[in-house]
Amino acid sequence: MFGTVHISFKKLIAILFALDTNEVPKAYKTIILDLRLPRTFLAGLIGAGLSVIGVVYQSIFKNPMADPYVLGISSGAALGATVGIAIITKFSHNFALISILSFFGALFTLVLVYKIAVIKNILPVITLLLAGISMNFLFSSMISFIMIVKKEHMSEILFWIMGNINSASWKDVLFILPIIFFGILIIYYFSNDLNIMQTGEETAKTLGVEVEKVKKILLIITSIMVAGIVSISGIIGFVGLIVPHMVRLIIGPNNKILIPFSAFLGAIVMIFSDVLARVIISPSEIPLGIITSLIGSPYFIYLLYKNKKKMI
Amino acid sequence: MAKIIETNNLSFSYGKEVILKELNIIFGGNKFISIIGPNGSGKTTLLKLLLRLLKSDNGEIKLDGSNLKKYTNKELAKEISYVPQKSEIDFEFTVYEIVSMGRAPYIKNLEKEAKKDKEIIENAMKMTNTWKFREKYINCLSGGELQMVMIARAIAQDTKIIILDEPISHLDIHHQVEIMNTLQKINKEKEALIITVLHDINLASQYSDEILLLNNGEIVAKGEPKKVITKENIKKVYNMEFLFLEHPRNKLPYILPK
Repeated sequence: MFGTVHISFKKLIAILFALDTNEVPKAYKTIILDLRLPRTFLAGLIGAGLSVIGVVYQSIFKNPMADPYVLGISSGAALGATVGIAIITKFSHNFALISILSFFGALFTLVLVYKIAVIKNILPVITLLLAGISMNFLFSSMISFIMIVKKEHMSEILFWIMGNINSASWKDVLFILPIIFFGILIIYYFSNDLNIMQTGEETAKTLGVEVEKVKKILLIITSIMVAGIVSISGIIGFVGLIVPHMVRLIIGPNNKILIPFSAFLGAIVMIFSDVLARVIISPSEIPLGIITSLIGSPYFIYLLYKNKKKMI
Repeated sequence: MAKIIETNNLSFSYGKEVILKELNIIFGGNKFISIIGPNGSGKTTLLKLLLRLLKSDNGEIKLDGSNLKKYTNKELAKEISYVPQKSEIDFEFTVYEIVSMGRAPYIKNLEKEAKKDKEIIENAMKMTNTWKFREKYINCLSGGELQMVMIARAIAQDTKIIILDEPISHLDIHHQVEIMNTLQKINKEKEALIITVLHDINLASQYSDEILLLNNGEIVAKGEPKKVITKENIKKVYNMEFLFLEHPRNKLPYILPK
């Protein structure tokens, strides 16, 4: 376990398995058990969740560029948090309130996007995508506006939006664990339907998939997951976009394998990125979202380049 | 058992533009049926209504006497399979994986294909000569191969009705004939009702038991090729002069532009 305070592997084992704890300073115990351990769990859960949501959106939208934030749910969450940080100044250090506001901001956006996109009870993916994109723009400009007006909170807002899990606690882990766990289970239940939907919605209907129903269920499940994740960690980019691609390159597009493997790799990537965020400019920390984008975008460009070569 | 699919006063329009006008059609038995007509005559719309991919404005469609609306997607997928005009699949599924999706209506979520499903998939692929490239990626196939794979999937779906939308319009003559022969084989061996939109009037004439000629959303003629492909009908619909010949072997109508 890495971080600003160096704790040896031997001591770590002692702490984790509650061995001979007299030998280890009490502060170390706190650092490991109450700070670094929940943080590692949280990073893993968030990475797994974001990656599986990425898999779902790329299947539903038949678009490899789709990521967990494409529907604007995250921007709604960010707006909620921004309002929490900047306007309700009295409570500005009340993290729980900020989380609650961003969670409801996300759910509110889901309802909004759904209402805009739905036509006669059918949810065309094109209108869904466009509604999401417009919400993203709208909310981003509102956030920028608030930042300009409330300059004194700008860095705090920016730090939140860029994504980090500095203040991770066991409470956060307990909150997000059931959302991610059951979310992924429900998504996995529809893995076969998702496979077929990748070959086109009309085809999927004629193969017996209740396309509209599946889309609505998955939209709601993933939105709740995004809301939960963003309310705790802010907007951590690229993991939900890159990990599904990496896994697809290795094991192919079959969601039955793709979903569990993406969850696994997503967790690893996120834990690794969080370690980097902690140690690169130690004792300061970099927002986790910056690390994932720094690693993610060159890799994505590499993927695009490889694909381009294949086409020529 | 042969299936009957019929439409009663079926109408459809996109906004104010009327596409189909009160169609009353019965398709039934183990027949090979082609739907022909100029662009915009409503052929594809009719197919999509039969597949319930579109909702009609008026009228109803019945499958073996019961309204199509009463079926769930899964139930309907056990009755009717569909080969779209073009399939664009960007994800790297293998040919085998795509054909095995034809078994989806019979398999519950999270379940795997049983031995019987695998046999059906293999037979469907052998019948269409796609078994030999089952490990290839679907996005690396030629147009003709891809269309054969889609037909294999429809066979694997094991339905008594197969609906195809211009399955051969973008293929070379060799693949066109290969696909038409395969469809004929399915029609005979699987006793399936084949309903296909075709642009090639001559191929429709050679292969079909029945032809439906549509124009401006209305039925111009329906019946045996000899009764439908007549000077009067064809001139009216396509608005040009043709030479009317007979195929030297089977004496079926054969036309050439004048």
